[in-house]
Amino acid sequence: MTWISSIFARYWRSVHLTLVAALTVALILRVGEINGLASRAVIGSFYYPFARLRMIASDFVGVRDDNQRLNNALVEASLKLSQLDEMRRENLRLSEIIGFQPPAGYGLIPARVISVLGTRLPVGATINRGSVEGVKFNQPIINQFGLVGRVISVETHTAAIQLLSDPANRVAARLSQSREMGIVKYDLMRGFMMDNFPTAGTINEGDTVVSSGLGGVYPPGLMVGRVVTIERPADIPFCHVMIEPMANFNSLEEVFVLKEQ
Amino acid sequence: MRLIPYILYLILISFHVVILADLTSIAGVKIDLAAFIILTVAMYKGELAALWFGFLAGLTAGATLPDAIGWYALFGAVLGLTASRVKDRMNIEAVAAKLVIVFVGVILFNFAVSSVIQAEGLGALWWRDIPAGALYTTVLAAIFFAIKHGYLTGQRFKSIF
Repeated sequence: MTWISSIFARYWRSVHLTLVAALTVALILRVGEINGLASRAVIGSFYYPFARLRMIASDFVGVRDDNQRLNNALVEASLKLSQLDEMRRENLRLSEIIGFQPPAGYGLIPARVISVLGTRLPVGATINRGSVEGVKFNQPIINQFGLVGRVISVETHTAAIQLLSDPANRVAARLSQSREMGIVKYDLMRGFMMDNFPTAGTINEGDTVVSSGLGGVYPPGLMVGRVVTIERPADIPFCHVMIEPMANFNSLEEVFVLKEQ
Repeated sequence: MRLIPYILYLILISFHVVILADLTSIAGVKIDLAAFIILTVAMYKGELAALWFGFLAGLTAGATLPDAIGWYALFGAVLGLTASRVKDRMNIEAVAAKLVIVFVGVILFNFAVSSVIQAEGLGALWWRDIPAGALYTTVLAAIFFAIKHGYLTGQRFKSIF
């Protein structure tokens, strides 16, 4: 055996060269399954762990992208849902005022409130109808619940409204039951009240207050409010009649301008 | 011949092929890490180490192409052997000379491999991608040799600031 060792020792470089050359030739000539075997061995032992790592990283990137996309979709869906909810509420409101009949001799100009003036309680508002649509100064404004106010200035496509909640506004009113009259106004300290109502007058809590038509601005019979409390002071000849207005001035959206025909 | 460093080199080549090559490519130009490591082994280790490592690195680099894996192995072995002999015969120690060997070696290795496996688009590959890739690899080699030969040390780097 020593002669074999001596041959290897003498020709070690050639032996290595021959081995590499033989393997290379076998691979180039694709002897048997050697190519597939070599390829699978390298891929399975060296490439696979890194390929797996890369796949995991890609999955993470995909999850992050998905998360971002889903977040955007959620925001869009929430926005759409909110819009649909608003449309549903508007639909309900509009359904309520369909079929709303104006007082005899008057027509309705539907309008939308586009701005509101006031801090604690709205005192004025702007509607999206003006002189082009036939809106005129001093025309009454109502909604499906009752009297809202009157027009105090008119532009081409908008008009300004003085609401009942403006302390400077006064409405000549009467009780629909007893027909006794008074003046409805908004007092900054006490709220909505019916002024100038005699102590001896017939009045009960829950009575309905309507416009009397005597002021010349508001036609008779428009719902103004409902009596809430009655005080009869001994020292003055008038009652303190507190009323609750029919219209909610904090949630005005759709109103009607009463147009005399 | 200690085997562990060479196995680590092969793992590094695989890591580069699967993950790093795409991350470090600039406008489609990639570092040829397999050729660079074969040449580095050839310049710092013996002839037989270069021969066998060139063969195995060629197998590793060409593993995804079973039909051409033999050619990869052949050109890897030839590259390692030739670089080792050139380095020994010319007694090359200067960093600049080693960089020339890296640049020329990477170009020749890629020319040889692409002429065997690439059927079309050889023009663009030879005159644009391969020289640009060789240049990119040489830049990496310059950094590696600068660190290995002590031209770029932590102390020197800190002295800049």
